[in-house]
Amino acid sequence: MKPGNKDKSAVNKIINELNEGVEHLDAGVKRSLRQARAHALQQAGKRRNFFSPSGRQWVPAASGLAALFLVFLTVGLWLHGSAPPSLQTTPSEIDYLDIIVDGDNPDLYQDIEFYQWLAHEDQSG
Amino acid sequence: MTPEQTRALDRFLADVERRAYIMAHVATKSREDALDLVQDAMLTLVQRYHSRSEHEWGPLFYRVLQNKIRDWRRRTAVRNRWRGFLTRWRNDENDETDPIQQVEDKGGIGPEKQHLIDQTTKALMTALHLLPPRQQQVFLLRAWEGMSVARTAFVMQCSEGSVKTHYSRAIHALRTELREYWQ
Repeated sequence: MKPGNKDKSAVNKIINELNEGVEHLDAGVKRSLRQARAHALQQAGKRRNFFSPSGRQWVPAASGLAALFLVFLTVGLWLHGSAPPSLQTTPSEIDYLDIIVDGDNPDLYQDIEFYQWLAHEDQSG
Repeated sequence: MTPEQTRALDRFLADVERRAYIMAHVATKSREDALDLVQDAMLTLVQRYHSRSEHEWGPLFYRVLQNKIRDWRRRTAVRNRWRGFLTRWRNDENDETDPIQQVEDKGGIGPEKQHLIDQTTKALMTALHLLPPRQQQVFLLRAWEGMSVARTAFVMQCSEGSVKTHYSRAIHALRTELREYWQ
């Protein structure tokens, strides 16, 4: 809907009032706006480029984190990379295990093995 | 940012800051809030968009400002839930920092005429304050800033159809509110 002449006139009146407001802003507001502008421009000047030499303060921290990661990675691989203890045992290992668990003297069993061998040699000889 | 960019931005901001302040003030009715919003908008423009071409700064700045005003409204709405209606009403009544009301000496205008002008100004500003937020800002951007429908739509982040509707409704509301001045 296009405003008619009356509307245009009234709108112009409002615009004039707004322009008057701009022209006659009080000194405090004008000063605050100048300060705000200066502050904004100053902040932008201070802002460092992330990859610029002055903005590379993140490099030592990143290096430390990378080193820490490598340590964890190495330890992790070492722990998981080494073969887990085998659960499969040979029969002789089981025998020895039984002997140890039972608390018997292993020398006695070695002597028995010797006498068994000797008896076998006598029979064959 | 190069010194040339800094100077160009300084010129641009100096050119728009007062009008931006009035727009923010119409939206917030608070001197301090309006100043904060304009400062935030300046900072955002300088930090994010300083490398854009100068002719883009206008729409971008007003778009940023509109976003700041919208965020301010959301925050205020939440805050106002915790405050009573009476408190808000009192704050509005006590707000003595309306820039329009602080117009300096008008150069020898008699007290009666001055009173009439003040009354008119007050009525116009009240009518603007009473507009719904989006109608208010569309009216200011279209009528005062002279922005096209397309540019206003970009700034307000809405469709061109919405801009036309908001503007038309704003004119209608102002006509109703300002019957005695609308001639």
